[in-house]
Amino acid sequence: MVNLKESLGEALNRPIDSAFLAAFRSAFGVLMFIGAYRYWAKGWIDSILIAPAFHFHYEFFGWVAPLRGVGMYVVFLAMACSALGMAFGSWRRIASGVFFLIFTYVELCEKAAYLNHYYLVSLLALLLAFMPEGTARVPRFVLLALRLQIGLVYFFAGVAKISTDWLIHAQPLKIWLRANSDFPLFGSLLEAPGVAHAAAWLSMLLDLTAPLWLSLRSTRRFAYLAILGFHSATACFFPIGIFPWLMVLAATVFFEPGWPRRVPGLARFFSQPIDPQPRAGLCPVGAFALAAYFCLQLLLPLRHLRYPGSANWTDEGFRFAWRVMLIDKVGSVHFRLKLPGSGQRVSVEPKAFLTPFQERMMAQSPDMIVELAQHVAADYQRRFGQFPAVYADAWAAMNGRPSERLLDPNVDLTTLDPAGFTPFPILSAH
Amino acid sequence: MKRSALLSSVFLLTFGTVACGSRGKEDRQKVLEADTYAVILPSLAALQSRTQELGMALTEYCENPSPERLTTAQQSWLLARETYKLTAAFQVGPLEDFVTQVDFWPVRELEVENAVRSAPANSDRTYLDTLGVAARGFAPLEYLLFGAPAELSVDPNALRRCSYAKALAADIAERALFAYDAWTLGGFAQELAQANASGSQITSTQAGVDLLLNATTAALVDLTDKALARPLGEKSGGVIQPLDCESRYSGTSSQDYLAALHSVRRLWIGALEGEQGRGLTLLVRRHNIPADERVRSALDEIAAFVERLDGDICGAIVTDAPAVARALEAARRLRQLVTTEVVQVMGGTLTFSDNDGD
Repeated sequence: MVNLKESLGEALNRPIDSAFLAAFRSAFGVLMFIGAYRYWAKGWIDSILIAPAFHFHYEFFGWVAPLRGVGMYVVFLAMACSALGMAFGSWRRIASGVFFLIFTYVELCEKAAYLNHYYLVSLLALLLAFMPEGTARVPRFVLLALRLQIGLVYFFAGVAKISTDWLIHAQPLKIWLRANSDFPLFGSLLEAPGVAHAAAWLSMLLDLTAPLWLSLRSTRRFAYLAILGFHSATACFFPIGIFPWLMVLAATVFFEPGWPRRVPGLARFFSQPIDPQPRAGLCPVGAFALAAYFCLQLLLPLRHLRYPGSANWTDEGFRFAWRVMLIDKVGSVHFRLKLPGSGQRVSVEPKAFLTPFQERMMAQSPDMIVELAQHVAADYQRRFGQFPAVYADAWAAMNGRPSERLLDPNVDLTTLDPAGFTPFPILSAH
Repeated sequence: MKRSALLSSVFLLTFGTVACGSRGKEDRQKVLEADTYAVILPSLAALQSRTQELGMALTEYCENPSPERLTTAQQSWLLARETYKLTAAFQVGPLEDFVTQVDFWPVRELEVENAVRSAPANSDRTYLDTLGVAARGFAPLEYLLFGAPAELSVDPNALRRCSYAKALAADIAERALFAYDAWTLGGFAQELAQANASGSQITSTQAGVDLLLNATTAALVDLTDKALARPLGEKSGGVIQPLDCESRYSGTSSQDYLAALHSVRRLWIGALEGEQGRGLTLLVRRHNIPADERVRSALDEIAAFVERLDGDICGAIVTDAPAVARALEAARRLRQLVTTEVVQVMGGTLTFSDNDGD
């Protein structure tokens, strides 16, 4: 037992070349700078964070709110500076920590804007904030932690694709590929029989096994080419921003730790001799924290199992679970308010409270429908002095199926826990 | 050798498969062409013609007022209004500005009367340009023609009043002509019908279909929220709001409603009349025939509810609100169907406009 512990400790703390970490942090910083600039340039600071009068909240973070006026622009300026600090500065750990805090704050401001890759960015920035910098060798656990994090993303994304919709019906790929048949040169061929199915099976297999092929020296080159091709294709066909390039970068953590020294053009940035003095290894507290972190990373994607029905339909346990590019879902909601006493009924359209973007995202997520219903009730009470019961006429269509009711129209949504720790009264056989 | 044979097989298999081709793009192209040339352009031509007639009728009436000429002017307004409502489902491109400028309702009587009082002896476009949209377009003209027609000839301000009405009609006609020209001579019709062709601002057939689908959805939002829910009092604590009713002076709110609904049907079918065409229906039927049939029957159901009302919508919300509420529920079902299943079948959800996906 002692021997096992010692050899595990030795394996985790064995000093390795830190070039991979420096390269990853710099490229990550550059990518995040581009991401922050892009968010600003597209006007999303205003349309997503400042303009909405109401914001959807994450459980435990209901107190987080965007700053008004120029405040949010200052936040993005600070985010961009910290991204550049990660890329080129000499205080890269601190820059990583600052970037993590700012980016996560922005992410927490609006639940409707949740994206899997934003969550991944937060996690990577957090890990980088605790990882060493400089030219000294680093303990091997640093590399393994990054590999495990990226490996989990691929693995759970692959597991989530093992479903009838994805593998048997090739949905929603059929819908998406059909919509892209204007793509230059080969766009019109995307709808050919078998293409959606082939893409579905290949992407599932790639997700499930990419970490393995990338880890093996003999298959690494081909695996990386496949990753590059796969993510380039998704970047061409789908509006998913920096996500493909983040994953292309992330896959480099599976290379040999000294890989940047052997890449022409990059090598000159890593020409300084490696400090033979290794960094301190993993201390017990650090080991515990890292173990707890990865336990959480294993459990969060599995939490949907405690809810009835498919997470793709219910959204319960959908976020923070690497269920990437799995569904095409559109919804339609309007609320019916029943006033106490008189029993009078009033109809409310969500667009009175939301931006079109928020409305679109809310209409497919039961938890956001419930949160808005409770806000509508509170707003009505503030204006008219009565707290109404709120019922939702909520319908959604997913992956090409006929539309169905999403929530029980006879349940007063103001009586529900918006956190969703208790399952929502979600209907349908999905 | 083995590896190159394997690679060649994969290559041949891939291209052999994709070479079979597909019809999604071709279908969308057909839909855009049918809707543009068989529905939109004829409707805009009719609008341009009807609004010209309205302008002439007002000119004739104001030059020689008589009850007969007033009736002609009123009839011209009704026809022009109905023709305008028949464009409700495709108010995109150059038509958007026309809608903004001439379709503000419900009418604000006070604002119209103020506009009359401050009008010059001969109102013209220059004067109208100094007014807000509430004092321009169909609704103020309806108020002048139907709400207070006597004042057009016997009021001390009659000349000024009639001149203002004439200017309103001329403005509507001029803007309709401008919109029609922008669609035809300006080339927007071709851009839409030939989406994805070089030089088209609409860069893909999918973007073209999305444009029509979004316009149809906007029409359905108006048909539920603005035309029915608001007068029914759903926005005002259940208190009926007859003043929020469309075309209430002419008593043609049902006619307006049915015309707007018919424009949705026309775009859906891809033809001005009948059940056969290559409109949006083509794309939906290709993948989901039941959804197409539900849309068609929902359109029929809503029309039947409205036609069965006791009088027009404005009257029925007072005398038989539950009947109007039934029409509203049917309209909501259609809207729900279009904004979920139809959007999905057409791949319309890919148009993320405010954020990236996943």
